[in-house]
Amino acid sequence: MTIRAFAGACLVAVLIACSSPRRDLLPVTLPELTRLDPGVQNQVRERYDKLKAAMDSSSTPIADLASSYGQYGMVLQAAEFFDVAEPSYLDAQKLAPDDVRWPYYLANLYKSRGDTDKAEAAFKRALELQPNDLATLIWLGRLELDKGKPAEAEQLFSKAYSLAPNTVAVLAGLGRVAVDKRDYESAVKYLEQALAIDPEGDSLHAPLAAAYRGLGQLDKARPHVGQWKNRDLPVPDPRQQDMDLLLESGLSYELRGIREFEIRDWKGAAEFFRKGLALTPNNSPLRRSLEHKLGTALALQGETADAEKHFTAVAEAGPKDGIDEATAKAHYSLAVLMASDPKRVPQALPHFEAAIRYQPNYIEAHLAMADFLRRTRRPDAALIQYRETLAISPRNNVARLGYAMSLVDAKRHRDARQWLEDAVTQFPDRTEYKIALARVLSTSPDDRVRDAQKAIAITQELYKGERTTVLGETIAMALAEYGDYQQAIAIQRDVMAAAQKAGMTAQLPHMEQNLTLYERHQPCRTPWTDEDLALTPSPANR
Amino acid sequence: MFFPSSPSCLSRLSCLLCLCAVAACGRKAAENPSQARDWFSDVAQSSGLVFTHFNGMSGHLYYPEIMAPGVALLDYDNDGDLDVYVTQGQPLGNDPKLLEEAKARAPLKDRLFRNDGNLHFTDVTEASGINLQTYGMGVAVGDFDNDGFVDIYRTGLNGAVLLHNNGNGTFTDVTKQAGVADTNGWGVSATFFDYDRDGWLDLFVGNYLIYSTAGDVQCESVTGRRDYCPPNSYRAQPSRLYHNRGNGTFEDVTAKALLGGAYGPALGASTADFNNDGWIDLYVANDGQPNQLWINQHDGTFKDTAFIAGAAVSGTGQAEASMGIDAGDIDNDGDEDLIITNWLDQMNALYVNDGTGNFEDRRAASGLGAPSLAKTGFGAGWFDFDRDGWLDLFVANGGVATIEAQARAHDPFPLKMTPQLYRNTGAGRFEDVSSRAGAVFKIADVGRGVAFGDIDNDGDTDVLVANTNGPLRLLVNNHPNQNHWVGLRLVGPAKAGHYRDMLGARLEIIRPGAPTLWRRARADGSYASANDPRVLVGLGAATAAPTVKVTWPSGQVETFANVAIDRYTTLAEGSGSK
Repeated sequence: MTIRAFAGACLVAVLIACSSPRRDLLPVTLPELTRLDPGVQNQVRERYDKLKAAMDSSSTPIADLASSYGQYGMVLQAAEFFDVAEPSYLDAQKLAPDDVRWPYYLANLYKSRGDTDKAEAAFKRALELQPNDLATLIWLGRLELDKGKPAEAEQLFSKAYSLAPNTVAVLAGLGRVAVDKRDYESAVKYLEQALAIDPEGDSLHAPLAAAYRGLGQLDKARPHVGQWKNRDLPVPDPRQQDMDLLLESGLSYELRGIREFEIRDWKGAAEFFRKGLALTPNNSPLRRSLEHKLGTALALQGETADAEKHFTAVAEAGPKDGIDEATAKAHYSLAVLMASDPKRVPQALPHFEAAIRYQPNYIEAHLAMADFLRRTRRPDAALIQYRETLAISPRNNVARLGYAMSLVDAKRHRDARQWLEDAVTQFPDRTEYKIALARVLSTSPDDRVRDAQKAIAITQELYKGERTTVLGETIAMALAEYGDYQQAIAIQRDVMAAAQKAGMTAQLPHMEQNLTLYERHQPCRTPWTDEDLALTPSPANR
Repeated sequence: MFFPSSPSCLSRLSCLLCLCAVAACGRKAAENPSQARDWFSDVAQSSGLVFTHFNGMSGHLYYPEIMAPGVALLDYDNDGDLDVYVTQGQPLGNDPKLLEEAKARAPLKDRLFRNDGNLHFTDVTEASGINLQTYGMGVAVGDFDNDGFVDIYRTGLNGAVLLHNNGNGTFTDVTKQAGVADTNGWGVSATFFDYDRDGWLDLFVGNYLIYSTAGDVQCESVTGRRDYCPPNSYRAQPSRLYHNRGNGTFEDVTAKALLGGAYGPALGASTADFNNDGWIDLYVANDGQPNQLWINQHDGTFKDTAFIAGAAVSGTGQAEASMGIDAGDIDNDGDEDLIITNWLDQMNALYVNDGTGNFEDRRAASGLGAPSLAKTGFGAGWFDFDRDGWLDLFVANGGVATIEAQARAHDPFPLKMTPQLYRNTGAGRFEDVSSRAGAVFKIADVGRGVAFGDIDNDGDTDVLVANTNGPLRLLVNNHPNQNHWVGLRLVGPAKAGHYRDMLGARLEIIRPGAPTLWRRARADGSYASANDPRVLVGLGAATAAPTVKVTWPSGQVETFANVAIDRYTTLAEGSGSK
C-alpha cells in the first residue's frame, strides 16, 4: 500500500469513526440496587451486562446496540429509576432514530416525571414514526388536554376516532374535549356512545352527569351520579403492557393477578399469584397477601379444599393475638367457606369471631357474621353485629336494613318501626328504607305498629319513581292490610307475571303464598323472606 | 441636580458627563440581579421560630409518619399581631434507637410562639400551660365561647383536644366537658363555622383513616422495596359535626345533620357560601374517594351535592387523592372557587364556580394543572401576594412515597419536593412564578400545613410552612410592588373590650371606578392549618377609599363607607349602615 493510499484509508477510518452513531452517547450507569427485590436486581444487572457487552464489542450491529440501550432503559423505567433510564433511551433513540419504541417510552417517562413539554415532544416524535398508532394518539391527546390545549387534543382524538371509532378511551377523550369547549351536546353524544360500548365504564358516569348538567337536564344527570365507580378507562396499549409485565417481583405479579380478578379470570389470577409467591422471600410481608389471594382465586374456581389450605396457612402464620389484618382476612375467608358448606356451617362462627378479634374494624366480617346469625335464627346476636358495623360505617345500608330485619325477627316490632322511620329521615334518598318501613307498617303482628294508610301513602310516593317487583309486592301488602283485597290480588298477579318474565323464579313460591292469603281475604304477616337480604360473601380479596 | 447659572460650553459638557455617570450608576444598580430582593425569604430561624417536626420514624414506615404537621396563625393575646401554634409528633412503635432519639429531644410537644413584633418570636409553651405530648396532626382556631379570646382545637392521631384561651396567656384543656374529644378519631383538618346562624361557632372535624400502629399494614413497591402504603390500605373513618350549644358544650350531630352520612378519608376542609344563598356551606377534600360539597339546608342539616355540582371527582371521572383545599373568588365574579391539591400524576384541581354552587373543572385551561403533575400538593391557599386585586396561589409540596433518586442519595426521608407560587394573570389563567420568587422556592422539603397571614403587619400576606420531619419556614413577603391595599378585621360585639373574629363574614369591596372585589373572613382551608382571619385586599393602583359591604354570619348586611387604604381597619357588627 502506498503512503497516499494508507493515508486515504486512515482518513476514511477517521471519517467513519467521527460519523459513527456511537459517538456522543450519554454515559449510562448501573445504579445501586441493594434496596430492590433480588429478582428485580437480577433483571437489571442482566440487562446492564448485556448492554455493556454490546458496548464493548465494536462489531455489535448498531440496531442490536440500540436495542440493548432501550431494553436497559425499559427495566429501569419499570423500576422507577427515571433519572438513569432517560440517558439509556436517549442513546437508543440516537442509535435507532426510526424505532418508535424509544421516543414512546421516553414520552411516558417524561409524563411520569411531570415534564409535560418533553413528553409532548417525544410523543410527537413517536407519531412522526407511526402516525396511526392509536395508543400514542390517545396519550398525546390526553396530555394536550392536561396542558390546556383542547384544539390540539381534538385533532388527535378525531384522528384516533377515524381509525377506531368504537374505542372507549377515544370516545371518552372526545367527550372530554367537548366538555372543555362547553359543547355539552357533543359531549353527551360521545360519552353515551362510550357507555353503550362498555356499560362497565363506571367512571364515565361523572363526566356524563356534568355534560347533562351543562345542558340543564338535571333529571338525566342524576341517575349517573349514583352509578359512578372509581375505575380507570383502559387504553389499548401493547407497549405499555410490555412495560407493566416486565418486572419479576412479587408485587408486580400480585398486580397482574388483581387485574385478572377484575376481568373475572380466576385461573389466570391464580397463575400470577403462584408466580409471585415463587419470587417472594419467606420473610416478606407480601407473601401472606399473595397466598391469601391465591386461596381466593382457587375458591372462586370452586377448588375449595385447596383454597382452605392456603387460607389456613396464612392464618397460622400470624400472631397468636393482637391486631393483624392478614390473619383477620384469612379467618374471614375460612368462615365464608364453612358457611357455604351445609356440613360445616357450625364451624363458620369461630372463624368469624377470630376475624373480628384480629381486626375489630373489619366491616365485611361483622356484616357477614350478622347475616349468618340472622339466617341461623339468632337475631339478638345479629343485632350486635349490625350495630358494630354501623358504628364503623354509618352509611352501610345493608347493615341498617339488616338491623331492622333482625328487630322483626326478635319480635321487637315497635323498635323496628322507629328504626326505619329514623332511617327514612336521615337518608331521604334511599328507597329501600321506605319500602321496608311500608312493609313493617303493613305486616306487623303488633297492631300498635301497623298503619295501612301510612304504608299506602309511602308506596304511592314511591310509585312515581322506579316501579320494581319489590315495590309492587309492598303495595299489595299495604292494600291487603287496608282491606282492599281485590286490588291487592290484581297487583300481586301483575308482580308475579313480571317476576316470571324476568326469570326471578326463586321468589315465585313466596309470592304465590301471599297471593293465596289475599284470595282468602287475609293480610300478609311476613314482610320479607330470609333471602331478601341474603349476602353471598366471597373470600376476602382486598 | 444643580446647573451653573451661566454655563460655559465646557461646564455644560462636564454637567452632561455627570448626568450620564449618574444615569449609568442608576441603571447598573437596577440591572444588577444580586441586588434584587427575593419576593419571599425564610426568616424562621432568625425570628426565633425554631421548631423541627419529629414524625416518629424508625424505618418501619408507619403510615402517620407522612401526614403531619399542621400550623396556625392566631392572635392569642389580642395584641394585634399573629402568634404561631404548631403540632408535634411522637415516636411510633418501640424501636429502641427511636426511643433514644425521642428521649434526647424531649419534651416533644406542640409549641406556642408569641409574636413580639419586629419579626421576633418567643416560645411561650411552658407559660401557656399547653402540654400536649400526643401525636398531633392539625389545628383549627375560633372563639367558641365568644369571650373575645381565640381558642384552639388540635386534632391528633388518637382523638382531639380543645384548648380554651383563658385570656391571660394561658390555656385550659376543656375537651371532656365540651364533648369534642373525637374519641379514637384520627382527625386532620377541622374548622369552626357558625352553620346555623345562632351566633356560636360550631365545629367540623375531618377524620382520616381507622388506624392503629398495632394494625399497621406493610407495603412494597413493584421493585420489592418497602414503602409507605396508599390510603386504600385502610378504611375511612367517619368525620364529625359538632353543634355548639352556647354553654361551653357541643352536641355530636353528625348522623342527623350530614344527610346520607357520606364521608371519605377526609384531609382538607373549607367553609364558604358556595351557592350564594347567604348560608355557609362546607367542602371536604377526601384522599382517594369523591370529595363532598355539603350545602346548608338552612334547617340544621346539609346535603352532599358534589357529584351533581361537578365537584366530586375529576373531569375524567376519577376520584383523586386530595389533600389541601382553599375557597376564594379567583375570577372576581362574586362566588367562591376551589383549589384542591392532589397527588402527583393527578393535577391540582381548579373548580370554578358558576355562581350557583355548580362547578367547572378548569385545571388544565387555567395553567394550574400541568406544573403540578410532578408534585404531591398539601397545604395551599389563595392570597394576593402582589396586591394587584387578583388572588394568587401558594402550594406546599411533599411526597407520600419514596422518590427513588433521593433514596439512592441516602436521604433518610426521601419524599422532598419544592413549593410553588402561581400568579393570577387576571384572565382566567395562572403563571408559575416559582423560579422568580426567591431561593426558598428551590429548597425541597416534605411540605404539609401552610398558614397565610400578615405576620409583620406591613400590609402584605406572608406564608408559614410546616414540614414533616423538618423545620418551620416563615416566608416573609418582600414583593416589590407599589400597589395599595386595605386590611380588614371583621368582629362581633365587644366583650370586656375584646372582640371575636366573625369567621364566615363576606365582603364586597366596592371601588370607585374599578371592579368590585369579593372576599371572606376565614381561618380554615389549606391543610390541617389555620389562617389569619383578617382580610387583606390588594387594590392595585387604585387610591380611592373603597366602600365595604359586609354580610355577617347572622345574615345581617351592613355598609362601611370610605374605608382607609394602606392600613388595617376593624369593622364591628352593628356599627355600619344598614
